[in-house]
Amino acid sequence: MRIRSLIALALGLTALSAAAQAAPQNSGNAFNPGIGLVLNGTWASYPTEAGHRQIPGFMLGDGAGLPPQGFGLGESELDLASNFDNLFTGFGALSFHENHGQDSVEVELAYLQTLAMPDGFQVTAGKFFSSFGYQNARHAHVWDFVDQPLAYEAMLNNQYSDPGMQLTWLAPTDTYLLFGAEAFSGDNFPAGGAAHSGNGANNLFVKLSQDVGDSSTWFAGLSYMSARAFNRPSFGDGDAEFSDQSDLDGPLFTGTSNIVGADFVWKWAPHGNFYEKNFVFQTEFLHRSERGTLSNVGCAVGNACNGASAYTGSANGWYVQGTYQWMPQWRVGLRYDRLTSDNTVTGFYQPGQLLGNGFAPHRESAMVDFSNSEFSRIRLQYNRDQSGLIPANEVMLQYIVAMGAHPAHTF
Amino acid sequence: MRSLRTLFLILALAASAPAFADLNVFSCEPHWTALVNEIGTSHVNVTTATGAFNDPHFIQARPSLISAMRKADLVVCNGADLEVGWLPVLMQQGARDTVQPGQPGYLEGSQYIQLLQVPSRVDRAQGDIHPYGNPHFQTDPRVITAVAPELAQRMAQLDPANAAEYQKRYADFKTRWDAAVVKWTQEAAPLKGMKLIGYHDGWVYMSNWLGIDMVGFLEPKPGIPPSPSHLADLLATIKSQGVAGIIYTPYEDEQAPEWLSQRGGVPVAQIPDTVGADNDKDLFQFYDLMVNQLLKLHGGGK
Repeated sequence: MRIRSLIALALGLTALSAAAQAAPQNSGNAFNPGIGLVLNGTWASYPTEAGHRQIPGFMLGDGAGLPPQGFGLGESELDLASNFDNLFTGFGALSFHENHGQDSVEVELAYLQTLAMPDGFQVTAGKFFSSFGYQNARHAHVWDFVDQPLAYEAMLNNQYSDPGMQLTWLAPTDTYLLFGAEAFSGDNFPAGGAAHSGNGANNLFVKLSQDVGDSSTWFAGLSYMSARAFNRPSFGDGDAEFSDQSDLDGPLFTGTSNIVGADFVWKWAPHGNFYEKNFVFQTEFLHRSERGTLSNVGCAVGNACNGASAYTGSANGWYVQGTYQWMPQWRVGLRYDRLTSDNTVTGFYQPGQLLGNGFAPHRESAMVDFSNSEFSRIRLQYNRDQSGLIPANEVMLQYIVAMGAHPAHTF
Repeated sequence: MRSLRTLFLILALAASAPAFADLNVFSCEPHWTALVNEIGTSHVNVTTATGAFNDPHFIQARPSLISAMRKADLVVCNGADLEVGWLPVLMQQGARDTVQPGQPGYLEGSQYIQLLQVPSRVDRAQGDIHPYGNPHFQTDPRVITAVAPELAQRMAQLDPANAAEYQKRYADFKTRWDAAVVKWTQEAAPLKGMKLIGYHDGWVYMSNWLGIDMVGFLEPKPGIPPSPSHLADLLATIKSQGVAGIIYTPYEDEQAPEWLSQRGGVPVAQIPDTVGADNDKDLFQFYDLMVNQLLKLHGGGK
């Protein structure tokens, strides 16, 4: 009996050591990039009298707005990710969505990132989401709610990205401490227009994180974005429907838009075992000051007409949200959003969008979602939306599914 | 004069501050931490990403781990996509060139063993399967036997100043380890042919080693939680196949295994799949614990 088990053991060891000489696992397509497809679709119901997206006190960019009424294909994306070589890794994403019968495809992300710079430095170049705040760099399919917080919708056009460069330095400390600087072309809201010698938005940030015991991690950040806009378009107050991006006939803004952001996230899971149970608390505060001139569409700055008014605006926005996964697959979430603005417009042209002083747009949201696996999620969300003058009840049903290779998620 | 003396005192204190470890190791799982400590003892400083109480598929890419990655001289992981949900983010954001895949500072245990259950067809309709094969291989101690020489060699290569000591420690470990594996294999001989139900399909290496027959899993498909209809099927399996017991890890929910145990009238045991769930402080104590738990199940759970 004893001898037999010894022989079995010896045979097993031989088999294992033979395997040890084997080459790393490779298949024929080993050099192909990881390819992933994320589909994101919604069904939404809003009161018809809500008409169009307006947040009093704010000029909204083309990314603002809710998913279309009824069935809609939301921000879906095709991802490619791979190392280029030993020095660079990269990521590309084409996003496509359907809006009022119009299909649109755009380059959402296309960037390379260094892997081998010394002393904790890293450079990212290409088109990428700014690391402003916490929520800005998060892809739509990992959002905890169907929509972005109001502060992001109003001040960052939901999510700011542009071609640019980022330099970060990770301090050699046990506490996570990251410093970063970004420069962007500034084509997109809150910047806009191309007359910035190709650099219309900059962002500085610092991020800090620590684990607390084996169950909790906190993460905090400060950001300062400074953007220059030249004839930045915004939604008109006409007959536009939700998220109808063709209706950008609102005031044009030329000037500076500076945003300070502070964010704090706390994640908790017993023993760090996220799969069984977890709670995530997230809050951000954004303060924006804008200064410049406003003109109406027929009277853009640079044209020979006298329609421009001087404008200074100060706005605050914050949200607080919590999501709780009480058992595998199931989560609930609550969110509260609030904005305030104080605008001064001096001149003949007085756009209705900015007559919001004293009104505080706010919104309460609740969601429940079910994830059959980590590759599929179905979500039901309710908003009591008082961001406009008429309170609206919004119900949204969303699916998010991912096929193929899928990049690992950041914290 | 006094100020000069103060300066020297400060310098002396600074010099006596705890010295940095010779080798900073980033370990994905506690069994690698235990092995690195066996070979490296006081020369190594190890950060461990996961623990016996969390599911290694699903941890968060915590920023503290990025900071640890930035300083790592050696990364040791199971590989075979076990850590695919978080390790790539740490590798990318830690941006440490000497520990990227293909470098001496990156060691995947899966490359030094024969992986089992390599799927012939890869489709996520089958659940969260791993295209390279089952990555939960540390439930067979012979895996440690196979990976340890490579680990010792890498440690010696990355920290030449202590190379001789690493090799000496490895030789000493190997003697003790080989004897222990023989001991466990003999102790566990009665388990051959025992039928068990597991929670996640993560026991194939253990069952292969000890001749245990895993006849079913609480998860209907890998990564999908137990459903009532599937549990009903398992109840029938228990009756028809003569199942000896149900096993689950400390990071899996005990409700479904307990329910099945009561209904099926078979014992249930929580068996950790890596070091550190109980009072086990090293690899030897971990496999002792595992074999003892299995023997207990075999004896009817007493």
